[in-house]
Amino acid sequence: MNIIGLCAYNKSKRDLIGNDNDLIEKIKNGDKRAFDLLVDRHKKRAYFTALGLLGESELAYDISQDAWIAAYNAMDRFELGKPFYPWFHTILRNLCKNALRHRDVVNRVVPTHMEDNPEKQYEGSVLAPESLVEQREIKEYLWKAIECLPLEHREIVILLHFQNLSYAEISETLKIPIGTVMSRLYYARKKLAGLLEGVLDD
Amino acid sequence: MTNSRRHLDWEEKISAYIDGELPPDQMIKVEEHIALCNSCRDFADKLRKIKGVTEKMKLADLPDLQWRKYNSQIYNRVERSIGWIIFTIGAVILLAFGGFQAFRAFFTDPEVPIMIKIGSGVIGIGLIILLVSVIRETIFRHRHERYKEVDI
Repeated sequence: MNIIGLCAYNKSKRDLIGNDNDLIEKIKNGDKRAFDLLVDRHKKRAYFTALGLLGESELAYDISQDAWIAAYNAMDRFELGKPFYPWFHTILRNLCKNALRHRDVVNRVVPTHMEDNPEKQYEGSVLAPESLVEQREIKEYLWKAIECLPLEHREIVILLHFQNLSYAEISETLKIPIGTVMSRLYYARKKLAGLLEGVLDD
Repeated sequence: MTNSRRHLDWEEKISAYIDGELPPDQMIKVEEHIALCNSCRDFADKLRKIKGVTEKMKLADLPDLQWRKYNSQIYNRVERSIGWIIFTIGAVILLAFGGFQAFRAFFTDPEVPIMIKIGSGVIGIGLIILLVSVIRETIFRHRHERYKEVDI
C-alpha cells in the first residue's frame, strides 16, 4: 500500500470509531477495517497480559496474536451487548494456559527460597530497564516470585498491579465475583510475602 | 467462628484495605484492628512493601516498529493458516489416491506370491489398527483435557 492509500485507509479507519460492540457488528458484516481498529484498541493490553502470564516477550507477542485470530474466527459466537474485552480475555488466558502447559510450568513446585544470585537472571528480563540497580534487584526477586504463583493468582496480580484495574474491573474481566477477586489476591499476596521473606525487610 | 478463621478473614480484608477497595465503614474497622493486633499490623506492612515495589515496576514495552507490524502480521498468519489447510487437503487427496493405486496394483499383480500378499495384508491391517488406536486415544485425551485449548 502506498502513502496515499495508507492515509486514506487510516482516515476510513478513524471514521469507524465507535464502541467495541459497534465495531463487532461491522466485523460480523465482513468489515476488516473494524477488526483492525478493535485490535488497535486492545492490542497493548492483550500483549501485556500475555507477557505477565508467560514471562517471555516473543511468546507473549505470538500468543496475543493467536488470540486475535481465534477471536476473529469465533466472532459470530460473540453476543452483541456484552462487553468485548472479558470475552477476549477468556480466549487469551486459555491460549496462555495452553502455552504454559506445553512449557510444563503451570503446576511447577513453588521454591522455598529465591535464587542466591538474582543478577544472573537479569538477562532477557521482562521488566523495563530504567530502575536503579538495587531497586532492580528487589524487583527481579518480586518478579520471580510472581512467576512462581499458580496461574489464577498470577493473573490477578498482573491485572491489579501491572494493568492498574480496580477490583470491579478485574471481576468483569475474569467474570468472577468481587469476593473471589479479594480472596485470590489475598492468597497471592500471602504467598508472595512468604517467598519474599527476608528480601523486603532491608 | 474459630480464631484462625477469624484471623484469615482479617488478613483478607487487610489485603483489600491496602488497595482502598473496602467500603468506608470496613476501612475504619480494619484500621482499628490493625492498631490493636501486632500480627495483622506486620502483615499489612508486608503487603504495603510488596505493593510499593510493584507500583515502581513496569513491564518492558515493544519497539514501535513491532507494534506497527502487529496488525499486518495477524492477517499474514491467517492467510498462512488457510494456505496450510488447503495444502493439507490437497496432499491427503493425492496420498489417498496414490496409496489406493499402489495397493490395487500390488494385490492384483499375478507375479507377486500369495504369501507375500497375505503377509503385506496382515501388516497393513495391523498398521490400520495402530493408527485408529492412536487417533482414538488422542481424541479421548483432547476431550478430557484439564486445560482445554480455547474455551470460547
